[in-house]
Amino acid sequence: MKQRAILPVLTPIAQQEIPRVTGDTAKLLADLQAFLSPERLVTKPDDLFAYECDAQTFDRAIPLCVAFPETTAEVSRIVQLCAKHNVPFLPRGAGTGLSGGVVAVGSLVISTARLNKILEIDVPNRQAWVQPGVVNMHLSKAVAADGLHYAPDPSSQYACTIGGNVAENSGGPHTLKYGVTTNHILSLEVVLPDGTITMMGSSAADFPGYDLVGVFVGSEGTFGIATRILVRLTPLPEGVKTILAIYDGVTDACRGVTEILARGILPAAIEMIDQKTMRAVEQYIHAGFPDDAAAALLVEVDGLSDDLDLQATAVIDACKATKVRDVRLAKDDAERAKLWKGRKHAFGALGRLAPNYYTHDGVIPRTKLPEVLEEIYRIEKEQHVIIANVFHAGDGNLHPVVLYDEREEGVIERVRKAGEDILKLVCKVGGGLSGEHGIGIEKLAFMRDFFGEQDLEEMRRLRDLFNPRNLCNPGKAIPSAGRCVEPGPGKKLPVGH
Amino acid sequence: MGTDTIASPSTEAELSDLVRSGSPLHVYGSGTKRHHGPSAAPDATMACLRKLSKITSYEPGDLVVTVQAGAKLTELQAELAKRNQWLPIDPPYADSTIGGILATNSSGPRRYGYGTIRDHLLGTKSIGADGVLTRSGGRVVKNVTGFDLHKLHVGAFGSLGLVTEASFKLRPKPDISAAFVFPCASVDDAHTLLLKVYASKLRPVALEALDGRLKHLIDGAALAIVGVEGTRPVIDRHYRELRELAPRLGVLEGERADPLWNALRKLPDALKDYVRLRIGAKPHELKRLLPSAPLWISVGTGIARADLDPASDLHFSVRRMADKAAALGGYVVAESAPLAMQNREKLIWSPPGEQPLMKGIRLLRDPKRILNPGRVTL
Repeated sequence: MKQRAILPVLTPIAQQEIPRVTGDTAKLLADLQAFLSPERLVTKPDDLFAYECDAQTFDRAIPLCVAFPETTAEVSRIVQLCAKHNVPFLPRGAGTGLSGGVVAVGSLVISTARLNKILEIDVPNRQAWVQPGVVNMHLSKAVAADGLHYAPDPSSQYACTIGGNVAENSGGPHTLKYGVTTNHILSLEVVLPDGTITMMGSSAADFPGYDLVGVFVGSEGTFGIATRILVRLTPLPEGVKTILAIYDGVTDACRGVTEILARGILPAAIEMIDQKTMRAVEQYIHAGFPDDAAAALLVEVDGLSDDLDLQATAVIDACKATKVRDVRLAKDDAERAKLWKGRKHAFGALGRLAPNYYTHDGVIPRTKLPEVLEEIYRIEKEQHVIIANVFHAGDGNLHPVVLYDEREEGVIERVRKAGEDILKLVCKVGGGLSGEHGIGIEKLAFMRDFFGEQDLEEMRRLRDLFNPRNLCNPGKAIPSAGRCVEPGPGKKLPVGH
Repeated sequence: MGTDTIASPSTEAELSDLVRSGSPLHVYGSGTKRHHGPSAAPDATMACLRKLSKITSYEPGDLVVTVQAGAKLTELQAELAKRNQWLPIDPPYADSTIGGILATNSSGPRRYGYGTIRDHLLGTKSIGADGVLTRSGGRVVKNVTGFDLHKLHVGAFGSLGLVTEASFKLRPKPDISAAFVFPCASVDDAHTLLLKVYASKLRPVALEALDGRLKHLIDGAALAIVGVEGTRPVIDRHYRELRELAPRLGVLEGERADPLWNALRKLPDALKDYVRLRIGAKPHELKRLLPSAPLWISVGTGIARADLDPASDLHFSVRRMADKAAALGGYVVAESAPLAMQNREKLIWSPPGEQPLMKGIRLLRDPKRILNPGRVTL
């Protein structure tokens, strides 16, 4: 458990971007109470603490209340009431997000926890309709017996929801081969910010007209609330092999990644784990990583069983062409499962090392991995912070984790400076600010480093078309036109500005 | 239109100036798909983007390329092939440009295995109706920075902005590309056979059923084609299992398969004088929607194309088919029709329903309707 906040706090950027609630909250509460039973409308301050933030904890605020609709019609009714009383609202899944996208300052949270049914599984056509609160892994488990799975596999997949995945356009280790959420969403039923229920996309391919699904996915809950989601199901690979490559230098491991890709191999996943992370993971769950090594690559090849050996050999040969200490196949499913468990729980393991951590999510061109990683470790030394690296190396999606204790004098400034330096580096090599965690509130201040004002204005204009009164998750994903403020875990101010 | 009215911008700034002039603009690349979608408004200024044809950045190690809209796909693929990579799409029309493929969301047989151009698109630069050049997305393979505005251009016929440059993720070229061909008694038989392949453990990249229109290449009243790409063991596995499914099959590998794929790519051009309908449904439900007409079915994707004579009253029967399709959860839409066809504008070109969001997006992005007016009916 993360430490309980003593006081809700907001960073300067959140203070600036999230508007104050000016609507009639008392009337909204009364109207909600009229049709939602007490267990479906959380209003007590003690209970609301559970909804003060997501997995990014710089910004914490208490919502007005949390509603738990069970049907699309109820979502629509709640949204209509919010519109009527001019109170902002936002959808919330499992709260595993890493960018503060679900921080609600005195506004309404619409939880999808009770919208958690798999509505229809169409095995022959490889599609399933689900409600947004269905947990990612539950869907894959439900269709596994039919030889299918839902391909995007974020590390939080044991808890995160499909609705949240749609909002964030989530990725995961296996998106290297299979693509991210947007490549797996066929159709959406959406409650728009005025309460209208609309459909986007189709169960049939190449539906004519504009790609509404394409722009809705990744809109971070600012375009409306997806209430039914039609996902593509992907056949499970017939076979899988996992390779562990152990390196004595981080940049050597990065060269391993570029060598694999340069040889025309397309593995299902290439993950990199550095020494700090391996040590944390080994202390936590004993996954079998060599914690004396500088870095390890976890490479997975999958597909028809016929050429798995060929693929695995190609990966091993590529690694051997770099300065690898040792490279070997996981000997059986048990070892493979343990290694992946270690990878997927890396963030949890790192969280045990320090009271606070700050994860960046920049994506860089893959050939830049060696130089960028070297620079990140240089920044670590320069700013006297601890940075662990565990990331989707095959996609070039970095996850530098800055570990710190916020009670230490002056540490916040150093953590922020380290983050800024890392993102400047990402920007300089032609990268992107976020690969999968989203912008939320936490990365808003960096958006101008990656986009011009005109680019952002185009985004705002589209958001305003879907969400003209900006009641639906206001202050997230795109910075408002105006001045810039300090990014990151800045000096925190009490709420009630 | 006379050639003297055709503008030919060679920079983004020149194209931007054309847009800023405020008169309606019809933008095209090679012009291979003018008969696709509704006709362009007759009074629009023509602007050819073929001079914007540079590969602006290509780093093979990143498997990412950035290319201008006027570049031909074949030119791009030739450049990528030097590094044993490709953009895994195989749309029709040999001369088609990146911009045209994006604007029409054009795809070919391998769409089943690799997806459409949308699935590979990482970002765009585009010019809006105000003449302003903006960016969306980026050049990295995974990116949630900002909304995916670039996706709006896919299939939009240039009505929401003029794409000048696009970035794509690439794939290594497969070791071997093979086509397994089954002569069948009817398209329906071919369809049934390929649905079995679709349901099997095999991993083909293309499942195409079509009537005897390729008789000059392969004899048969109808054909079932299974495209497979990968390593030798994967190709051999498909051969073994496909032979069990239907013993009469021909195998074309590597360059020997090229004439077949090229013939498929050229087929739409040869059928320009027909009205081509696109019929979409879930793969196993598509059969119920199909008319009795010459058919080409992408079985794994659930899309069929039917070619009909362009009778002036055809739109009545198309309307009936569309209503039936909608009732069964699919759709029927006209994809292309001869430009001279009578009542061409009455064919169904747009999605069913009111589509207020789509209309709103168009109004937002192009309030004066100067970007390719006529090319969408929203």
